[in-house]
Amino acid sequence: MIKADHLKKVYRTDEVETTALNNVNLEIEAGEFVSVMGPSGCGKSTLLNILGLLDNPSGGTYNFLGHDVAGYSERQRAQFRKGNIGFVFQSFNLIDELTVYENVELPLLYLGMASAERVRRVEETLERVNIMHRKDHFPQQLSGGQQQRVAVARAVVASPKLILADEPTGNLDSTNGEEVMQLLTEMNEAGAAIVMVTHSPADAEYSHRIIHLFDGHIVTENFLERKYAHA
Amino acid sequence: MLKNYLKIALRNLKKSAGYTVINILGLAIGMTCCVLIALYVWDETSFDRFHDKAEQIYRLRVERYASGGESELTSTASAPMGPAIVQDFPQVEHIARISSRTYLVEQGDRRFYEEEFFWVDSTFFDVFSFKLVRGNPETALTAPFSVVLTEAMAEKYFGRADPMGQILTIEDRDYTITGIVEVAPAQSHFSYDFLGSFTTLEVFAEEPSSEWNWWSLSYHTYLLVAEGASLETLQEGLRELPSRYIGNQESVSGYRQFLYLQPLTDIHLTSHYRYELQPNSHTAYVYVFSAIAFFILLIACINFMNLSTARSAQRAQEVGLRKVLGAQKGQMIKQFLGESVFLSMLALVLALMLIQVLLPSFNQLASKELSLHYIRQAPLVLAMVGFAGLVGLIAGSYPAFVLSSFKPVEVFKGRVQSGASGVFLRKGLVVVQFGISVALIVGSLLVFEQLDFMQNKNLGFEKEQVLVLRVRNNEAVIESYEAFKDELKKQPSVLSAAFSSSIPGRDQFTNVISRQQGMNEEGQTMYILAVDYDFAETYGLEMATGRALSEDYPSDDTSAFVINEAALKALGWQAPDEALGQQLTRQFSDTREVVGVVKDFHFQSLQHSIDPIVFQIRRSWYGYVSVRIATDDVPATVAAIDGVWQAFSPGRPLEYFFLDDDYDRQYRAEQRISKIVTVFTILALFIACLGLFGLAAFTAEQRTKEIGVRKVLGASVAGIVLLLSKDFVKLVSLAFVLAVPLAYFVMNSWLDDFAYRIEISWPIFLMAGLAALGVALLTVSYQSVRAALADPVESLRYE
Repeated sequence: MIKADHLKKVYRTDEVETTALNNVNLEIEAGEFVSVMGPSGCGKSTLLNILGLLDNPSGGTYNFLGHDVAGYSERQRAQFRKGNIGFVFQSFNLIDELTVYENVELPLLYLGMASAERVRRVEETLERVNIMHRKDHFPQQLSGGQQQRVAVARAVVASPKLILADEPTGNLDSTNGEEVMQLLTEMNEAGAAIVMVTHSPADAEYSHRIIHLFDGHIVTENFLERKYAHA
Repeated sequence: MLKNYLKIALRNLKKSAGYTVINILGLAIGMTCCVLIALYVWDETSFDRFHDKAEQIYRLRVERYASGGESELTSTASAPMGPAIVQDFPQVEHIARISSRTYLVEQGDRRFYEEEFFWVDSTFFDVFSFKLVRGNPETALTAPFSVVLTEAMAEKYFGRADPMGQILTIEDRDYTITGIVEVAPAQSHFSYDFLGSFTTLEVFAEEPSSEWNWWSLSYHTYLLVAEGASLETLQEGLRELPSRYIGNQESVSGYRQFLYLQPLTDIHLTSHYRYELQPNSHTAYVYVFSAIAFFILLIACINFMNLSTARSAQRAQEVGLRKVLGAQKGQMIKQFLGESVFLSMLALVLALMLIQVLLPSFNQLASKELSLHYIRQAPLVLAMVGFAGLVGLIAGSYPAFVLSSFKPVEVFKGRVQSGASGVFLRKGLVVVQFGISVALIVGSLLVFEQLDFMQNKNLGFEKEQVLVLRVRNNEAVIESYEAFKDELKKQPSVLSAAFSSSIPGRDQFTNVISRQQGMNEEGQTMYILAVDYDFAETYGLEMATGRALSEDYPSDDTSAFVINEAALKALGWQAPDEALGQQLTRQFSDTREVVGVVKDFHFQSLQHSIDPIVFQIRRSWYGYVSVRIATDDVPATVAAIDGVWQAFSPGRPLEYFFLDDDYDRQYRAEQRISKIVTVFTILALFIACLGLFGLAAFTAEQRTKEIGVRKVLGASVAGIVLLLSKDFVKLVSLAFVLAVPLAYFVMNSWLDDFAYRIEISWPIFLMAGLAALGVALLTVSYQSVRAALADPVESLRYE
């Protein structure tokens, strides 16, 4: 599903040139669950942004679902992201002014989905993450764990082929964190590929493969015993 | 999706209610000012357009030149000119002459002086579209002693009785009422209460068509020109018309008269000749007000943009997310523009309410009868909606484009500094706002100062405590004027009294004055004032040399002139003493000796420099009695004077006014302008401050962490307030520097219109600058102090 060759990302300011990613080669199968680990500043988030089409690489090729997307314009990337990629962030990033229901509905609105279908999908997804009873609440009225469940619901509501999670448990206590990881595993088992950046070895255990990044390079790759259903 | 946008918009507005109020209120006030001024400008520019044939109507004006080069430009023509034009120019379909008078009108025991009595030609209704409610427009004004009156006048004199065919006594003669006419619309350059048939004047043997009357310019003459007729040809033919008829008189008198056409619709804004029916306005004021409206709206729009861009960081996360979830840049632009338009529509609704509330006060301020009817003025209302939409789009465009170009990656990395984008623009806009405000403050201060100067300048005569009685053509009083004055002077509160043909501040006669006797000698047009022996004393005039006209010299009655210093110079004498004993001739025949030179005094408004004026005794010209009084009990004095008046002139009501009020009336237009400019200046400053308040709040909020750290490190509250206020002081100072030359240039050219004007001095600018700075600091300091007093532990934890 994903094939990245010699990915390179260089940030330039007036005086300094920083290489965030250097010669990264990566393949991810459909339905795979990959964790990315490494110290702060090693390029994890940069990799995630490029994989999620939020940013373009400075060099190398990136093939996503059979398309060479490395040179896509912002507009093309936005178009391609819709429905194909879901995001889960460490800080939840829900829109404060929208209710739980409305937050989850948003990706479907951008897909231009018919109203009846939207209601069905949103309610189904809210049921799946067990937050239906809070659908008319605003984000600030929820606990961190609940907010992240809403964020997961929003990431999966459009049935994307890839979910990108950037430290999804980073702001949660262990109980809530575990709950969210369970949820992500369920989504993975339902067919979505997941790439998750994490500092937590425990969370990484949920995945099929762990990639370690250091100074922009992939240094190790460990395949875990847990086999994925759609391999 | 629209629902989603609306929800977000409303919830955002609610969340930051303070900013929303500032934003909407500022814009609404801006729009209100703008619409009020637009109504005013619309009103000013649509004068006389209600006539069906407005574009075909012209007024005749006359330029009269003496061989010496002086000229007299009048809005009036002489009686024979109109009929001659109809006769000679087939392209002129009709002419209508108007002559304005004040008459005593009586019906039973109702008796009033009416100042809006017009003699008009029977063609009046052919030229103008004033509506006759009763009577036949073809015949109403044909027969002598016919009069048409307005409904209000009909009610005033006849109550509910039918006035048609009734008799009205005007100056002791009976007139038949032949029609009822609608009141002239407010947008007419003249208004009337009574229209008397012009043919009556001919019966009076005033002989308006007599040859010599070509020189008497007392008839406003309007021409209805055939559609499509060449104006150039007509104008060319008209210019020399008087020469064709009275060429011999011209060569004898050394005077020539030229005729010109004025489009009817231009009169209100551009015509400022002698004998205007009503004081007209100036095109410049229309421009000034339009500019003020534009600037106020600009200030309001700037607030809107500034606050939106400043607050944009709050929306950054939403933008990033929406983009991650698939929103295109175009969609985001639409969303934010939509929000902005939504907000400006809310402001419009508020503005419409404000307009309804404020219109009566504004009308009072501007002396107008403006109204806003949603149905009748549907185009205007639609224009306002469109205009509000446009304001929303313009004001929202910068935030919309900035916000929508946020990159999600940078948002999530926290690289989008809270409101950092557009800091430069925002500062620039604050400079523009305060620049405009400072310029407006300077403008209104200078207008105010000039008015104050005009009202308090030493005029060369004493205008306070003078009660002026209008004598009009009251023969009973004029014929026994000495006895009348003696009776007046017996009143304890009367110091002195003087008859005269006119008074300072009112129109004066002009005559030709020459140094040699005889017709062919070179003369000059000068003002002439017929006075009596007490005039100089009553007005407190000072003599430069010689003496005032005096009872002690019986020959003064027929053989003495007093002139002012301006006349002295105009006649070619260097020193006052040179003139004493010299002969002057008035109107080629009346030769008298100069017995005194009076020091110059302002018998006209300070817009004019002091012109030459000549004084003489001539009872038949007397029209006013000026009574100098010494009392605080005005009502008792007036009652006493009325008693004397009634004894001499039973049955005629006493007409009186105070000289100072009447003189200052000349500045009424300027006073009105001054008030309007002041009000809008205050509003402009208020809106600018509203924006600054919001911006200061935002800056303080944005620097919460910095303030916290500084306080932990030992900064004092005063130090923090200074730190936060410093930036704004810099901006206002820059605005001041930019505004000064602009204000100087504009105001200097305004002041140039006055013959006697103040000089623009730096304290005015300093005052304006300090006022703007003070108000700005006050606005900012509230937020600064609040931020400085905040608990650093709280603010650091918050960050």
